[in-house]
Amino acid sequence: MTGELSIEGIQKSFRLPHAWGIPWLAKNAEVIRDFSLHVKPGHIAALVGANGAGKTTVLKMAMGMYRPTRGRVLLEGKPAHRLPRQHLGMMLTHRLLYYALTGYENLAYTAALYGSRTIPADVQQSAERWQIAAYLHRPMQEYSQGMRTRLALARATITRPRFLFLDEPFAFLDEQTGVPLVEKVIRELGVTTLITSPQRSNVAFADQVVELTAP
Amino acid sequence: MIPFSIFFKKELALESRYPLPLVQNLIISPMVTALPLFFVYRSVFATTTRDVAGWNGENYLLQIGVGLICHFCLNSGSYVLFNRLLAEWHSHTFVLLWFSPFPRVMNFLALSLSDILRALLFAVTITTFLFWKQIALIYFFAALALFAAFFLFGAAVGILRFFQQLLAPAWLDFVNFFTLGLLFTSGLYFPIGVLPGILHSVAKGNPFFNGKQLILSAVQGHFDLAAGALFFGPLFILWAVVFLSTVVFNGRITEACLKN
Repeated sequence: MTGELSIEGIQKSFRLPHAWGIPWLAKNAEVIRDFSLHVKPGHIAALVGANGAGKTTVLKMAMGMYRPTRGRVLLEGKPAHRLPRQHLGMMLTHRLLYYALTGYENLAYTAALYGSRTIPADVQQSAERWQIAAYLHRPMQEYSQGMRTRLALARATITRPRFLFLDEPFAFLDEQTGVPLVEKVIRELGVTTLITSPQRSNVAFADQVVELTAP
Repeated sequence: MIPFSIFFKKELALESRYPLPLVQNLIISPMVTALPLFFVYRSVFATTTRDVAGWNGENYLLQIGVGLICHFCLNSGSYVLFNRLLAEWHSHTFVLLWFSPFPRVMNFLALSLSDILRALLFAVTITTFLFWKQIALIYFFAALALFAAFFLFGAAVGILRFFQQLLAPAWLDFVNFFTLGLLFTSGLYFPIGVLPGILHSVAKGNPFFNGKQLILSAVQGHFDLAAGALFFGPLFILWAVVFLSTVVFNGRITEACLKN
């Protein structure tokens, strides 16, 4: 079904290199063990947990960018790499922004890179949606951290993706205006969303909240 | 269709805000090599009628001019594209490029569009200055196309160096050493006839040398087909390796992207 996200019994282990670089002394570190989640189309799911619980790893596996050691992730019933990439919107811990460019240039570049054919209109619409239209032509160096986060959110949603993956989007957003804005925009877009946050209070609006603990 | 114009605008915007590396890569670096050699050759050939392995008072300017443009095109491809990709990597924006819906190799080339255009503009300016009275228009455009091929040679090396930097940085010195060896026997700035026996044979098979010979023959109004084969053969092989590497290392680069 369009916009359906299904995570089925995934497990992820990373190989940790030994301090002396000796390959056979490297150890496996299990980050996620037997995790499942089903998100209905247009719903918001939140992953909460302490630092190191594996929230970001689950998010990246859901995006189809980490391969699970076991289990599988299905977006619309198929593996993520089979889905056209413009259907995936993402905001990682690094905001994926060019700090030497203006907000407009950042958005226009991403819109073009992800196949938009109406770049100026898309940029304007996305900026208005995230309430940064007034700052659009200023260089990024002049943006506060909160404004940068909003710009990164605008960048992630500019192509109207079907799935949105947000890694700790509330890190620099204020509780009074920022958090409600995230909820409002995601609901308006009707996009299936997976959010990570270390604080449960920030994601109280989500349809599903899943607590992760380190294995 | 890849939005080349947006890539171009973005790169111009970034470059205009940080112009010094550009001046270093494009003007200072090739000139540091070419200018001293030009003065040395001028002092030799201006006072004597000597012929050193085919270089003499009549053609040394042409040889150095073509060598300089080849060097510039190679530099724009291998050095500048490599650094551009690394800059994207260190600023974490490489993820955007890697996960864009367009073919990855085309994204890399689009990233270097401003370099391609600049290299061609440089080639047009100097070849026009050097040869405009002597060659037919068709050979002039052929020479420009060959300079673009030189850029593509460098670009393939730049992309492969970038992959290597991400996946096996310890081997990067080996690739750099190999590339340096190719440049050493390239004859871009000197007649390869002065090299000792084995190096002379190596230089004859060097794609850089043959590329330069091909361009020289074009600006002199004919085509050296043997040199063409020895230039385009390795060029196609190199690009096949780039395509293959993009496919083979896809998963490993993706994981590296997300750990970055």
